[in-house]
Amino acid sequence: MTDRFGPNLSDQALDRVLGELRAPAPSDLLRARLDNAMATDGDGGRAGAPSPAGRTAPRAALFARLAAALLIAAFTGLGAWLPALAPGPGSLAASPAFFLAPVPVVRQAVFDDGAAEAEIGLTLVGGDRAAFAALGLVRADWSAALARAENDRGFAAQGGAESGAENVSDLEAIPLD
Amino acid sequence: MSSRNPAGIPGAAGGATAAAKIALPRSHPPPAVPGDDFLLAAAAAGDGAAWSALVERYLGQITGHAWYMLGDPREAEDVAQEAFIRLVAKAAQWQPGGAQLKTWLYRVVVNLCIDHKRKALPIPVEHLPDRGDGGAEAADRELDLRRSVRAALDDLPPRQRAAVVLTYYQGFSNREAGDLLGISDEAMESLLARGRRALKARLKGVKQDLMG
Repeated sequence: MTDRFGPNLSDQALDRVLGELRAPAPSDLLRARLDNAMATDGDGGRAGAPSPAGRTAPRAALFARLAAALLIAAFTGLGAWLPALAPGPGSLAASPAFFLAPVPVVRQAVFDDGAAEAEIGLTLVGGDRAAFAALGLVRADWSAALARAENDRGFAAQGGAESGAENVSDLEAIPLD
Repeated sequence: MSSRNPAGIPGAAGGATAAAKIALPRSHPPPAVPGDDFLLAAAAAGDGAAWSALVERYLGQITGHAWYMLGDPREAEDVAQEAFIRLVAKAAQWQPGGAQLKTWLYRVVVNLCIDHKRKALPIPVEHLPDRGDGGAEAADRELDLRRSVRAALDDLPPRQRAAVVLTYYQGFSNREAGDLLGISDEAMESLLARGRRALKARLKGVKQDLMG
């Protein structure tokens, strides 16, 4: 194949160098999240709503997740502030947007100071936002904050170089200490 | 989630007993290799194995596409997850025989990636998968080469990048890629030509390494 662009690569050479780049395989964590996606998002995570046939009922699933999150919290030093939290009308559990948001947005929105303990807790439950919604971790105008976060995903997806806190400043983040 | 298998997915368990729970016509037995529409209908009816099979079928492809577009594995996984979550929301209303699921998923991912406003940060070495054959010197050279390719790809405008990734890495024809990007065949060819021309110009410095 001829090179129409003088000193640049030929078509063939370009194909060869492009072939050097190979995408990494998806992580097991992502697979685990997606395996639960149908159960979590099928009804928006609301307790008592109809669930697909044969699945664990959402209410039972929420209790199971709540128990798991409490257990994790006990081991990660979060137990001290958990009793102060309770689901309510303004909690994320009531917002479908919470379930549709990319996990890092949720992570940043809920824990905008990037506390390591919270990060560990979130990871341990496999990024399961329903567990955190069940706990009512954040009460705020979630939709507005989410919209801003989505517009400028300035959360610390690259290791915290940009805090992105301005995107979620309306959130009433629960203190972690 | 994988204990039931009404869709009769090869390798999944429990198909016979749970099959009756799925509202699919008895006159249409599960195909040997279940199609996307069949799997999605089964998944919407609560079949975890069918959902897992769909995830398995497309997760690698669309995560890979997002990675080629964005350059960061975590961002790529977020986009892939978002696409699947949208599929969950759409599953119950999905019309069999309409749009192809693969096309729909790619279109969602393409749009999510193009809409992604943040320019990808420089890619740390650990984000480039190690191909691991040859000695240290060869490995270093390969890594440099892959870094150069990654940087050249990241420098492309998003739509040019999408055109290159869809046709080169994902194997779509120009027509299919143009359809995904919502442009005519001619516009797609032009976009692709510009993308490849820009890549050639940016990568000419690696020519010696490649040919050596």
